[in-house]
Amino acid sequence: MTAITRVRNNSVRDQVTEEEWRTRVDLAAFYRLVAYHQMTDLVLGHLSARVPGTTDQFLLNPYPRLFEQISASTLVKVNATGDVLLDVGSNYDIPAYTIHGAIYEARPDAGSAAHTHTAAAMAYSALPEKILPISPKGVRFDGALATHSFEGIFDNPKERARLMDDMGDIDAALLENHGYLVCGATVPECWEILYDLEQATAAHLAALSTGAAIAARPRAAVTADRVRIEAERAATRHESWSSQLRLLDRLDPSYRE
Amino acid sequence: MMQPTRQRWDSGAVMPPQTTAAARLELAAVCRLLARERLTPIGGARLAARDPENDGTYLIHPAAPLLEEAHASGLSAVNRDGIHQDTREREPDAGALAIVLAALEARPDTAAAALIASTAGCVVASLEAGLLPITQTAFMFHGAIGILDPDLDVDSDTLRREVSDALGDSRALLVRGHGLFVCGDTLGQTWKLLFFLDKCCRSQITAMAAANAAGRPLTVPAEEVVSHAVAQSRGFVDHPRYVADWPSFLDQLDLEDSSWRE
Repeated sequence: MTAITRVRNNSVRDQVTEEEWRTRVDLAAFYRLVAYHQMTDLVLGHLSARVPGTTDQFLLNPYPRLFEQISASTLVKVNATGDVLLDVGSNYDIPAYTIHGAIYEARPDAGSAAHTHTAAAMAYSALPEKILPISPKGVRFDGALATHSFEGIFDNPKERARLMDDMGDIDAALLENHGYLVCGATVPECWEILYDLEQATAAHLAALSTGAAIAARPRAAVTADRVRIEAERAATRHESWSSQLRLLDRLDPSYRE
Repeated sequence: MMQPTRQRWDSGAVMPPQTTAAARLELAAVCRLLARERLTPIGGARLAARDPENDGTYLIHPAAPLLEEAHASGLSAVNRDGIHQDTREREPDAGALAIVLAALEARPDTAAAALIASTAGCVVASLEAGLLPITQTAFMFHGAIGILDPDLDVDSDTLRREVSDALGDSRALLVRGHGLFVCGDTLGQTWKLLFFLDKCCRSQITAMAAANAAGRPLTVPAEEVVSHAVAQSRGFVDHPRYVADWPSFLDQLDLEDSSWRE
């Protein structure tokens, strides 16, 4: 069992590296953005980030706090075996550790991961259709959304390997009858993927519900769109994230605490 | 009154309210949370909590004020027939309150009950298929949700028996023409059951609309997976951890507007 460093006088910032603190602020912002965009499920669902400079340490939400209440110093640092490495006065949710631990073990390229069950994601999770490339967001997931069958509430360690086999090197997965799991190299990229997937889902569900035939587009056009959209996203990601932090700062800057 | 038979509260876990004042506070909080999530139309929710200090007395949010205005001292005390304790007048009721009070009479193990006419709830309650086992959230209720098609013209004893029969030992009902009913061991559990039941109804009708329009089947897990998930979910809902987040909700209400405590 790894020794727990006890935090005195709420001085988390003094106990961690500058890089970890920046990641904590970004991850807390991620929680606040998910709340702002009404993508929460009360206290369920979870977002995480790998601690910079480590392979097996990551940050999780203090359970059971609402996403609106999460700030940089309240995030819980755990390692691959589930030990809490820095006592911030809260514990973590075990299914969160199980799912996110699987990601960080199998995907060295992942710096952040997210699992949500919005009403739209749950609806799509009960449909057999591939997500339609009918919007810029939907195009992004054309051929880039893995599927994992429902096995029950995620508490079986053996399911971790099956989940990661299904996900492979794809950054977004549909968990059937359940919701979404996504990962990205950084917190801003992970948020962008999660948000885009939610928006793609809304367009997909609305299109199917018309009952009308969906006009097919040439494969080459969809693929070319996808390349262009990903290039634009990469070029604007940093500035977009700064803008989203400014929005949060205007609304309630306490996520930085 | 029968005493609660379920002794499963861990030390330090969230308990049912032990005083009238606590029941008032917590019921006002559930009302505010319903408003915060915009789960019901105006006038579309009836909630009641058992008064732990006075047998046969129930605390209700009156019909007229918005849920956004609910506060502890603004709740009313009524008897099982909806007669106000102070004025002796009958609470106006389109039927939902009678069902809620009948359930609390039938289920002395519960602390609170609610009936909400959410859009998704009314739709799923109207479907012959009822609630489908197509989302993890729905497994909290699958096999443990009754259907009530109430005849509100019957006498109150008959209504109480009908509600009791439909409910059995479950915590939820699809009420035809009215929406979703839940009852909980605590106010926190009542709130979460309401939220999650409405949420899986929202997902279900979206999924059904898309699947039916596109002529495709819904993805339903295999029977043994459903059984496994239902057993897991039942343990989840019954576990004290299920309502360990109740203080977080009260904190959030305080952060946004603490007038519910008045």
